[in-house]
Amino acid sequence: MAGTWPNLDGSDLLTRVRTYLNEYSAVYFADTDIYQWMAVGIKDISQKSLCVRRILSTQALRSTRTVATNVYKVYYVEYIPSSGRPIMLPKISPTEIGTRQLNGTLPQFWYEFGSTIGIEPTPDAIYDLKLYVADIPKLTITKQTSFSSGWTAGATGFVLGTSAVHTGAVTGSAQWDTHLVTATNYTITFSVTTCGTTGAVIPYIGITAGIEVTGIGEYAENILSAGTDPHLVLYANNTITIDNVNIYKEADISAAGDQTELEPIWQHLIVLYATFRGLQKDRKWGPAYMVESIYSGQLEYTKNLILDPKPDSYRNLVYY
Amino acid sequence: MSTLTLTIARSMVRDAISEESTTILSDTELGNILNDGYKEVCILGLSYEATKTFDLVEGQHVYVIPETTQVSPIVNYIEIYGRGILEQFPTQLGHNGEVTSGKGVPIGWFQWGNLIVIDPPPNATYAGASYKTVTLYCSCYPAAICTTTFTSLPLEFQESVVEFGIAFSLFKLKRWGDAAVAYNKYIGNLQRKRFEYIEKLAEERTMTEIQHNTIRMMGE
Repeated sequence: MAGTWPNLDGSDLLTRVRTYLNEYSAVYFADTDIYQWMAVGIKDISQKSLCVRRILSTQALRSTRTVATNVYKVYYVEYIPSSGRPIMLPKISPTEIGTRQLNGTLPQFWYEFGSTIGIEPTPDAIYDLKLYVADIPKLTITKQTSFSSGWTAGATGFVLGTSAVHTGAVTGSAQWDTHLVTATNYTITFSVTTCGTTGAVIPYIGITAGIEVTGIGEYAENILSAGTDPHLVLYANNTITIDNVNIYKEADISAAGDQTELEPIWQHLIVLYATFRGLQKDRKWGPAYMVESIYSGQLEYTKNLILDPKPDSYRNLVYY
Repeated sequence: MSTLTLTIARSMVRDAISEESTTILSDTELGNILNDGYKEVCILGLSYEATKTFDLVEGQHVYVIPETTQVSPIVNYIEIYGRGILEQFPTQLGHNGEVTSGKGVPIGWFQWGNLIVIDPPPNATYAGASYKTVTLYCSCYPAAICTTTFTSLPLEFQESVVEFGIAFSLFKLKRWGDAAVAYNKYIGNLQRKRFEYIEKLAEERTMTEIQHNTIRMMGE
């Protein structure tokens, strides 16, 4: 297999589809057809299972009730206060706007509508939020565990080794040398492992900024790349250390080396979906829908088993 | 059966589907199918159980699950320095437990993708040397591709890999009806084994006592 175990890359998936369709090389089933079916399958799996789970950093802006989202579904909204304990906000419906009893002006409730979420009460300042989402599936572009190669530091501030360490009040930059694609949705994830009281980092793609991060933890941000010079650049102030940058691109699987970000447990389902579509093309509708029923049943089974929460209760701790 | 090897698994599949020749179904293709089954049995059966650890950091409540293969396992239980922690709904975050300056004693957790969320964020004591270690009880993907032996797979789940191989190698042979029957057998057996060997149900106190009522079979 060409992908990094246990992942299957584009060529691995294509090979398996051809095995199941019993066509070793492209005669009736073109590679482009199979890649297209796999691309649709990836979306179908992601939409039905909601398996691409992320915690996205975002902000509610002053006097703006809504926050734009570009994901399949927002499950939960967490408010991160500047000091104190993060709290998950209760979800309401738009009908309840202005009817709930409020306690101050901090974010207390949220609702989902279209491609936005709404915050109640309307924010009177900028507030940090984390959105627990089922995101659009993307291709894995890179998983960087070191900054010692492939990155360029600006004139001051950053020292690049296994970690990207920034010190000093002057804003410094660390740029990933590989060009990204213009006008494309990316997800950037990274870890902040140390942070001084005034430390901060903002990821940019070209001139498009992400959300400023000012504390230790794990972060994910969706950024639409700029129209020119789409490099990923981390701009930082004062003392902060960044590790483990991952980059994901919203694009269809279409080539041998493409790596879907879906976990390996879903990847065999991509093969089954493409096999189903191939059998349809071959006018074998009985076998096609037999394969589709395996695909659908296993998708639901997997979702119930590994994604749906199964919380404990006090009974789990008490010896009855 | 002794520890399952790839060679034995291929042989068993070929016997079952009556296809000894490698002309139609090559060993490479069959090896691919069996390795796909290897992964699936480990995760859908929750059968490859392993622990992973990381350290709490004061004030941090979101952590990446440590995993060298960069894919996330399924976290089933969490222990923080000798104490089991309740899995909670994400909606409970921030609403239970006592905190000082936003930090406290961790009482709950949940998994979101490849992340573990601890609630509330640990205070200095629980991020200190005596308490900071978090142990995750996970169901994981196999550590490496099988080229000789399915080393990550418990003995009681080995047959499931062969059943997976039978079901999906029949696709290549266009024996669709046989494939459907074999698949149903595979998934039913896997689920049965998961219930039998993996589901961790604690015994109640009454199990150590003489029972008040038992069901007697006829003839006893």
